[in-house]
Amino acid sequence: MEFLSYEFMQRALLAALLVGLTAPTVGVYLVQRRLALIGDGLGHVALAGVAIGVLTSQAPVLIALVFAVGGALALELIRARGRTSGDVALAIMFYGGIAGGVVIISQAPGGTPGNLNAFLFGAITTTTGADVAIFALLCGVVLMVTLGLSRYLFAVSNDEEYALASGLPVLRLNLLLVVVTAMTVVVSMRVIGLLLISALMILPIAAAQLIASSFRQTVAIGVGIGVLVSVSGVTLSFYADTPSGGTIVLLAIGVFSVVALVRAVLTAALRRRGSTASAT
Amino acid sequence: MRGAAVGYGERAVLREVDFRVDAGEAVAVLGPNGAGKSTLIRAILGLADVLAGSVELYGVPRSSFRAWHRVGYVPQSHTVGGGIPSTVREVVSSGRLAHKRIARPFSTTDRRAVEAAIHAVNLSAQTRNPVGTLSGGQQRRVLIARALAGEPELLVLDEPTAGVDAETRTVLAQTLAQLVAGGTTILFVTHELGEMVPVITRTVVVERGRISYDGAPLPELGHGSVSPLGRADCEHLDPHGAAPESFSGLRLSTGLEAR
Repeated sequence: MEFLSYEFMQRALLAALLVGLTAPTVGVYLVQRRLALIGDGLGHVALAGVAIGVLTSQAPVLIALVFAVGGALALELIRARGRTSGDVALAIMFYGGIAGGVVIISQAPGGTPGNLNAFLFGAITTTTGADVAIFALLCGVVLMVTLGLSRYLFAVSNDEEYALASGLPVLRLNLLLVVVTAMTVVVSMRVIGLLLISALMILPIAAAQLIASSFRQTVAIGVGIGVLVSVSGVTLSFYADTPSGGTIVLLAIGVFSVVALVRAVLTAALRRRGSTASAT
Repeated sequence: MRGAAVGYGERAVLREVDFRVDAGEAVAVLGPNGAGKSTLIRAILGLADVLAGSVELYGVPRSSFRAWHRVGYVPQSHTVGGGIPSTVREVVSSGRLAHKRIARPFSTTDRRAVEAAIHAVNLSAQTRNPVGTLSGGQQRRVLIARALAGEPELLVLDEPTAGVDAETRTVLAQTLAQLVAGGTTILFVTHELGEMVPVITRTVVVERGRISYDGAPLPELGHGSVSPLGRADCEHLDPHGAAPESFSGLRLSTGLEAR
């Protein structure tokens, strides 16, 4: 437990806990709506905000938040109005965000695209006390929305047409969902990196849905897996001297693979037992 | 609906539609594939664009109608939900949300309404089961229960009996008969009347984007009654059996047009 004596590790573990707790509660709706990659698109947009923050010596986290939320709202409105497909809108975001980020950072004094690495792949040990305070606030808002409005978000992501016919405020709920997705992306920026954040929103839910029998259970198991891989990933990265983001994602893939394998073996065993029983 | 043209974007699917459903009626909307049957009910539900004329619900223009808890909807889909497992109760509970102010927790009344709706479609034993593990017919019943959970005054169903097993058709017919007896208004699109025949009080036939018949249920017509548009020759219709794939019963309308 030596690592707990370092202040930077205490902050890192707190940030990891917040991300592990929050990301799956958003991811479950994205998976249900087949928008698993939206986190990637918003991460790229946030990168342009980070670059502006570096260029102007302002707080990159807050500027990234403004960019990610703006991008999220634009994406949902484009999708809802059907002006262009969700895929195309996402692609414009992907490439526009990353191109803007690289060009803007090159204009900063001594700036090179290499300066963005910490944001692209995570650099959790550089998390400041102020960052943790902002993350805690954002996570509180995200959890209030995803848990407090869970029935409504479930109804819309499960059957949008039915939700419309029921008079639910579908557009407003969808906008809210993409805004909390953008917040989660920004919160996760230091811990896991903008290029890897989708993994923590999606993989715990992908693993949970293999063993859960209800939506509520999927969220609970997904959050458990999210917290487990985030906290243990940060701890492991401290001892193995590896980047935190990559370590967390590899752990999440590991958990998904183990769950999928165990489930496949159990299903096959049950099927064999069933066919033996019917033969006798 | 008064003089309504309805469609998607700028493309009109229905034209010059005058159509009214009164409280307590059970109206079957029939017609061949692509005639505009589903668009007719989608216009009422706000899922299709009104390009001309007007659509009102309970005397209120659709665009400013807010009392959606009075209307229940069963969509045409054969399956429920996406990739995440969800139980019968979770899905049916969605049908209660139109009754609630946003973010308010479910009350005992809400929970009772959800359980009663599940019971009405004979799925009480499967309440905690993931809907993905149910048969196609059972999943359709889950969608019906979701609509019933809102205790609607008007229940709109799109092809509720298409592709479902005999048990589901029977359960549906019994449920609708009870609802009609209790004063609920029913509007449903169908290809096959089958078990629904005793339930319906009126038939509307949609053909090529227009209402070509609106009057007594088909069984009466089949016995030679006179429709508002003329005498209908539909001896070849078997109201108690499944209609052919292309709804050849629509020769009925051809006869009406040729009167």
